[in-house]
Amino acid sequence: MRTSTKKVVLAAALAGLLLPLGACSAQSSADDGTSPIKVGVIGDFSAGSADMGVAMRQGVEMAADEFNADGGVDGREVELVFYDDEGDAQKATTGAQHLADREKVTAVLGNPNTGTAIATVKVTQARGVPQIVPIAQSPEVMEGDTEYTFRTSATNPMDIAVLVEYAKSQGWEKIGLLHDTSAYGLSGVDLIESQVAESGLDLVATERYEVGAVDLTPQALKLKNAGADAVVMWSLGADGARFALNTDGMGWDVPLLGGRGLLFNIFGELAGAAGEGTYATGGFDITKPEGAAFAEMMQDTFSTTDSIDFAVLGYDAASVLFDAMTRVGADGATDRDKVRDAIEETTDFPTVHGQEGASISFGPDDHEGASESAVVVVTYGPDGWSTN
Amino acid sequence: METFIQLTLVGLTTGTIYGIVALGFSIIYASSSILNFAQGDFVMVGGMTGALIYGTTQNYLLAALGALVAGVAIAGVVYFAAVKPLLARRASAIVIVMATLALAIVIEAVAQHLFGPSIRHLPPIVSGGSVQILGAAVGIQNLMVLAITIPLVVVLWLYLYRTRSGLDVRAVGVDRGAAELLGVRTRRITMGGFLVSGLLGALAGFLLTPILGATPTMGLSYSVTGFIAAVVGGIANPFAALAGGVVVGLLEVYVSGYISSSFTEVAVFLMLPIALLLRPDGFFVPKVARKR
Amino acid sequence: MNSKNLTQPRMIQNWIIAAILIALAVVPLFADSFTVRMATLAGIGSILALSLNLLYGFAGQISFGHGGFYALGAYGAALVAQNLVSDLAVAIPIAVIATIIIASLIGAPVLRLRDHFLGLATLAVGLVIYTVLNQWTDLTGGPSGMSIPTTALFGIELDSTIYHLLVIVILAVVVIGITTLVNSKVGWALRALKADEAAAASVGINVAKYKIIAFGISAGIAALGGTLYAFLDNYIAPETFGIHASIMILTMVVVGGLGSNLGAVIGGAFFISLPMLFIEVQEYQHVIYGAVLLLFILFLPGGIAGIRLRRS
Repeated sequence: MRTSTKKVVLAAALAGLLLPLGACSAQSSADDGTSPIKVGVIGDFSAGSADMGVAMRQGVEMAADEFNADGGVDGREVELVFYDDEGDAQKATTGAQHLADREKVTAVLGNPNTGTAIATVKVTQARGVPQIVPIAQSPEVMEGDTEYTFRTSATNPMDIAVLVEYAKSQGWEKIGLLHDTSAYGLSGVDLIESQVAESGLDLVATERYEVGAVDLTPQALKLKNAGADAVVMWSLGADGARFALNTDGMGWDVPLLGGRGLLFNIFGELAGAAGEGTYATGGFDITKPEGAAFAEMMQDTFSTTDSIDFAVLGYDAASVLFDAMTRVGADGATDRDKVRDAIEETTDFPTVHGQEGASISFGPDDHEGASESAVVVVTYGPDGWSTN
Repeated sequence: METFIQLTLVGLTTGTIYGIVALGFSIIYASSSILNFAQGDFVMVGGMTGALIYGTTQNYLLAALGALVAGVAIAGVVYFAAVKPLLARRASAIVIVMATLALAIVIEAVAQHLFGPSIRHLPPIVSGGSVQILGAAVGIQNLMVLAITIPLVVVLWLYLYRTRSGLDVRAVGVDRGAAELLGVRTRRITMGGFLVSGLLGALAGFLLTPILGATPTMGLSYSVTGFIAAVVGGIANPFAALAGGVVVGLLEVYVSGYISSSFTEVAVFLMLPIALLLRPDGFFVPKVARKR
Repeated sequence: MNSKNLTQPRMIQNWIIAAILIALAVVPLFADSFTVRMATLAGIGSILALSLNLLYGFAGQISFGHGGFYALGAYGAALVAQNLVSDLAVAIPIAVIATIIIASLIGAPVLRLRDHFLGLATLAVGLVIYTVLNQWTDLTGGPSGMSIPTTALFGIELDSTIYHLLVIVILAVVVIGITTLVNSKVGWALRALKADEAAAASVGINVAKYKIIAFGISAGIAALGGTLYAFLDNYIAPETFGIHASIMILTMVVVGGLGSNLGAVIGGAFFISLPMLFIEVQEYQHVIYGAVLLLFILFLPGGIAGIRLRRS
């Protein structure tokens, strides 16, 4: 009998394990006007796209440190609360709910990936938490109810429009498309296909590969045999570099274009001279004074400027948020609706990312803050990625 | 014809890369009948350590040595933390497999913390991109991989088939119990298998990083590719496993080149159950009557 | 040979399961919506663990790819919700039955393999399913995922509390169903399979047929879990169903305790709610997760449920 009682007690204890952190809710958020303002930061910090997520996080951290050093919102500091969604929509939902309901953050910054962004937006929108999306570029993120959702990054259609325009201007009529099977690679395909068609160019072949594929020569051969004048690589840096090497090795001097996924140091490290002339849409311009200053700050803080294109997006999204909070003032800075309204009123807020004079503006019907000026066109040369 | 040559050369060199991973994996299986889920992490640790050391010291030789040491060390951890205790209590094969999986998870997580998420790079042994062979382009580093793997394989063959201790190793692979009865020091051999496999895995990682870059999360996919290659070739025979890698590499390029690159990934994954069903011992191993 | 394999599950275990289910069911009474969702997820986790436990714990067939059936259930539900009607009453039967059919077709050849060969083959199956779902963008939306418009049952919309209760009820039904199955003639055949396949065949048990039955039912239950998940968050994306999902389900069963429904319920609930417990140390969650799994394998091979069994 005693053993059975022991078991039942053990069972009850175990069942209790499931509830403990649930029963106690976070401290009441009686706003005294001086305590720190909590901001949630959610992204992939440890799985397949951690390099983007961590970079975004670094940008946000830099913005927060700077902002707090300058006095914050009339003396109120901003406190960042992080959640790692590992690129998984289910975990993103958990994280968004944790940030909104438990941590009671005033606003959320995130996510870098499409799937997790969609999941997070669902939650923040339902709970009336203003969210700024710093990186995720697919149109789907902003479909549906987005009263509380704002985006500061340029969208995939914008990037692709620039690429297609450039291809057209160079007289390349037959376009080949190469893409990987990650979320990033797959997200661009439909858009590229439709935009190429719309602009009167001819998409002659589409080839795909798995991230980390050792050799892309088979894909290159197919694209070459299809008669491509230029190849759009919707790829990540390492794979794009390998493709550049493969086409070089084949003796096929085809112009290469790509998206932001290419903009990692590994591209140059792997491709070397073969990557020169590759044309990509990005968001960072180091020749801009703000850009140079940002690069210096990043190097000082994190001893690296790899993935600076993603860090700068995190930085700008955070800056827009902090600016909105400042406009609300210390007393109302934790009021989600007031912050939301202030974000929506953002007009011509200058950003570090983008071309000279690029800025973010929102309006009641326009929560896509970036315009074409947010897209920076870069070419790969002996000194790395630089603006032409 | 030109396309065929180009594709075949690519398939051969890519396949050798898969093969070298499968080789390490099958050495463990041959000497212990254990499926090592952490094999891909041996590759990862070798690549990341090499890249890290090179990044700080600019000394290629030091980086290579560091990579090899790290590989052996990690393999040692897997052996002593999980395999040895479980073998001692005669745990079932599945349990040991899951233990290696658990360790793979831990190793990956620790690597994330130590190295950060950025993809790291090593310069190739010989720079220059690629050379032309039979009118097709072959990457120089890929040739390096071949150049290093072939003598290694010869040495391994000589050891396994021409030395007494090599015979012992093969005996353990065939029937551990019987080998023990005959006085073979099976635990020693299993440990040796792990350490050698760690060394080879790390070497593979060091050779591959100049081609692919290294990230902490790359281990699992290398493990999967390694499994597929080893199973196709011959899971208990290192040389067959190597050949299996080549087959996978060739299949990949032929599907990409002649059918559609949309099906390549699925085709490679499907090779695993197909090989298991048709020739569970591997296509490059003589068919042996198995006790059912 | 452990004769425990052929004995009845203990009554006391069932009482404990009932206690846990009741504890889960009453969560909405005093917890916030975050906790309610975690509790619902815990219930779904238990269903997933139970599905693998049926196959591996009772019938002795390992699967490293159960995430694939979880995925089929979720995506099946999403396809039904988008193209037919967004209603559990329609989605559950269709998704579950479709998955059972697919699993049976796959199982027929694959189940001829044993032990780690079967494990590898099922690993490949899980990977193939994930790859297809992720890349067949036209059908599944690819990485952008699919949404499930409404959570309704027979036309009645369900709020999160009622949905939570529904999931717990379904979990109870699954437990009862599996227990009944395991104690039935079919169940005896399955457990005989696990104990000694050759012996089972020699007494006339159609080994192949029963393996496929176990595999199919197990896949169906996993798919049920997937459908319930789809209607919980109303949005699914491929990453949730990759190889990590398969590993997670396997971990649940191992840590919970193989061959024990109670173990599966505990393991399932525990691992899904783990992120909640880990929030303070989220940075180290993977290290802790792997270490916990390893420790269980090394020192508690019977799992959590095994602890109790040994004391009696």
